[in-house]
Amino acid sequence: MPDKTEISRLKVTAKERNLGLIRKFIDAGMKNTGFPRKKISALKVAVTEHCENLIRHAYKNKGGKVELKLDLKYPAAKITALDSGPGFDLTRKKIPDTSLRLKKGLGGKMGIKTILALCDAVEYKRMNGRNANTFIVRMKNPGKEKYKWQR
Amino acid sequence: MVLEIKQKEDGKIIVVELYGELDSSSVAAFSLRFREISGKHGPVKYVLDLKALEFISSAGWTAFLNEFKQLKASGGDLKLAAIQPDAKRVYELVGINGVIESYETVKEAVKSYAR
Repeated sequence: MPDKTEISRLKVTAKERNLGLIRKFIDAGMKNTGFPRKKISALKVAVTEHCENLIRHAYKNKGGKVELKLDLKYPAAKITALDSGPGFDLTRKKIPDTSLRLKKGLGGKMGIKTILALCDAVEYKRMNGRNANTFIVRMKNPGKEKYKWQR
Repeated sequence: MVLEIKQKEDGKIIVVELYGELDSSSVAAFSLRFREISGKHGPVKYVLDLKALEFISSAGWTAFLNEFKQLKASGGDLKLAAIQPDAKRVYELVGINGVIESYETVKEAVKSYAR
């Protein structure tokens, strides 16, 4: 269990073909760090959803870069995604009601709903012409989880 | 990881097995392959076996909804089986559980069509 902060970085072209690589980066960075699968999975889903939106809506499938910074300081793990797309503050969005669309057999808006529900916190900053979206998960009962993890 | 899709038949029910990861990079391959299968068998009863599906994003769930909607409109049906726990959390969270039925095992999903 690391007491110090561990930081890893990944910079890739925002293309669909790199989504698997992004998830591998999260898996590798969080392996054996005491975070349960549920929390690792929450970050993988949130970052994938965010990058899918970025690729499609912000970069319009034309590429552009996304830089990921994984910052682990047990009992919290956070991933910041930096991009150069137009400003988009996810934290100002309400959790969408997808029920009506689903009744019609339609998807859409599920990504934002998933991110906001799975992460314990989401932060947004616009700095130097770049978006910094940070997805955070926290252990709710770190002592207990630590014990379970060490057994 | 590449998405792999296999198909088998359990009586009159078509079971489609998904292996790997389903996100926006693999969703076109899923839809193409599923439509090949449904084009061959027609609007009958289908089960998607998700036991070996390691990851799914909203792009994947949307593809399932599209296929479900198309099948229902033409008299067929689609059910899900063996959703992995992390995916099941999202399935319930976004409310897909109110649209497409899911079962713990393929056997249970197949059996549910007999009811």
